[in-house]
Amino acid sequence: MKINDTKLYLFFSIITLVFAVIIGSITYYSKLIVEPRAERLIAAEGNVSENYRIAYSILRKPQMFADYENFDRESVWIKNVIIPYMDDKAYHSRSYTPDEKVYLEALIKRRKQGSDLGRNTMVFFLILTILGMGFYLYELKKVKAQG
Amino acid sequence: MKRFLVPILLALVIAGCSQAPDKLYHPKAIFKAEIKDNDVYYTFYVKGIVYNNNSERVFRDIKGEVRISNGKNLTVLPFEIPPLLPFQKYTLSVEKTGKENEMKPLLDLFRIDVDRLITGGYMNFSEEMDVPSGNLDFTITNYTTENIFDIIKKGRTDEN
Repeated sequence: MKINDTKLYLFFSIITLVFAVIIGSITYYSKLIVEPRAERLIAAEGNVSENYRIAYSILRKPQMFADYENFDRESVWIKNVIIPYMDDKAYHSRSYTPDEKVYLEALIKRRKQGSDLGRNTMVFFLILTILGMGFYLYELKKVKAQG
Repeated sequence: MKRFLVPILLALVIAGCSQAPDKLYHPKAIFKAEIKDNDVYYTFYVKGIVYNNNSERVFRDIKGEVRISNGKNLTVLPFEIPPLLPFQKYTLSVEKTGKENEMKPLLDLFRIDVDRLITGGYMNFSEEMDVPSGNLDFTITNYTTENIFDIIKKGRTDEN
């Protein structure tokens, strides 16, 4: 019995491509829009408190691949020290000061690590897509040759 | 049936996302004996840690009770907790004071030697003891929540 795997390869390629597109769009949204904006706010010299507040509101939500609840050394520091401290300031409407820059830098570093991991994952799924498409084309050619 | 399924599932998801702290971590008990007006008063303290493991919700107006039992209810200790921010810990301490006859069930539960506790001065403390999880019931009876992102962006609603 001849097995026709073209559909299998085609669907596999489509699914991996969809994953790559979703992960890539989230990753590059972070890399091209969120991170530069947060960096500009952290680097800005005037109106530190307001700029830091906006930067923190951007960075408070973790990047998809760099959740603050993950069990790694940096996330423990962020989860147990940075977030409770910065949230407490926001809750009590206290001004942010230049001393808090180091905390925001830690958050943006974490976000960048997450988006780098997202980019690598996107590349992985793209490679799977290319492999899937290669097998699909090979199988298609084989099926046509067999008539 | 189907038209109820989505709202029920949605309600469960929302409830799950904003679940209030439901555990008292590392509960410890201490007894104090104190002589006042020629009477011995015993105070029972329970201390433990309440942890908000929710990443986004701030819990406010938290009220609840710590129930100590040994099969039957021995005492109920009500408490209030100040606002608990995401990932924040709070050391809860509740207490009950009374004379020996009133406190006897608790003293018996923790096998406190009353004679030993009251000797040596007008105020004495027992050692810190772990409270077995089977003897302690921690319940939150009331709370309100607010999203931390709203607070960071706009400030607290009770300030506006």
